[in-house]
Amino acid sequence: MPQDLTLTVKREFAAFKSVTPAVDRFLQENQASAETSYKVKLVIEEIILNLIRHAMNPASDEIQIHLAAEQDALRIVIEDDSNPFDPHASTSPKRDAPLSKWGIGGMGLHLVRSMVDRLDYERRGGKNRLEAQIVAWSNKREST
Amino acid sequence: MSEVSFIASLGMGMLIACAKSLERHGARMVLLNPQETVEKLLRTAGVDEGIPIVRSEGEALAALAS
Repeated sequence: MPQDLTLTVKREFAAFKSVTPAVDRFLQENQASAETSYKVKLVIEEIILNLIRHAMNPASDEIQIHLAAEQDALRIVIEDDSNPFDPHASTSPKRDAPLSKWGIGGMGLHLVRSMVDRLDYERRGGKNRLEAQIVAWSNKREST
Repeated sequence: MSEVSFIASLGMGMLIACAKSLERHGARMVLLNPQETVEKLLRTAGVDEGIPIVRSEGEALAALAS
């Protein structure tokens, strides 16, 4: 059973399309639950698209994604070499204003923070390293 | 919305842009029958506070008429 997957993605929208099939295969082969699969795809889409659109001064045009299906948690690690950016520092969307005053962005990192069980950020060796964890992730483990 | 199995912030941004555009033209929008996980995400992002989530066409018409 494949328990790890490492992908390198170019920092461009067209390249992102290649990520989904490989992630789908990984989740299916590891018997991730439907809810976990949704969360993993959400985290990857939000973080990667955020890096493609907003990362400043990247040293390279590549982003690394690593998935690890471990007994205690499914881990999603995303590394890139742009300027330091801690996703915990971003604010949540404010909904006290009328709809006409709403922005259409600012939801992605809030969704990520809300959907995972743990989210850690560190700056290591000139790279941003984000690790998200989802526990009770497997259909197989939940049914045994 | 019942056929939508996945939504992230990009899709939610499009829904908000549509609702704002409709509002500028004097119309309103509701979200009918999203799947459970999609609804959870929409509520987590607070989208439902500006675009009501409803369960039936009758409920939709009532929400739009109010």
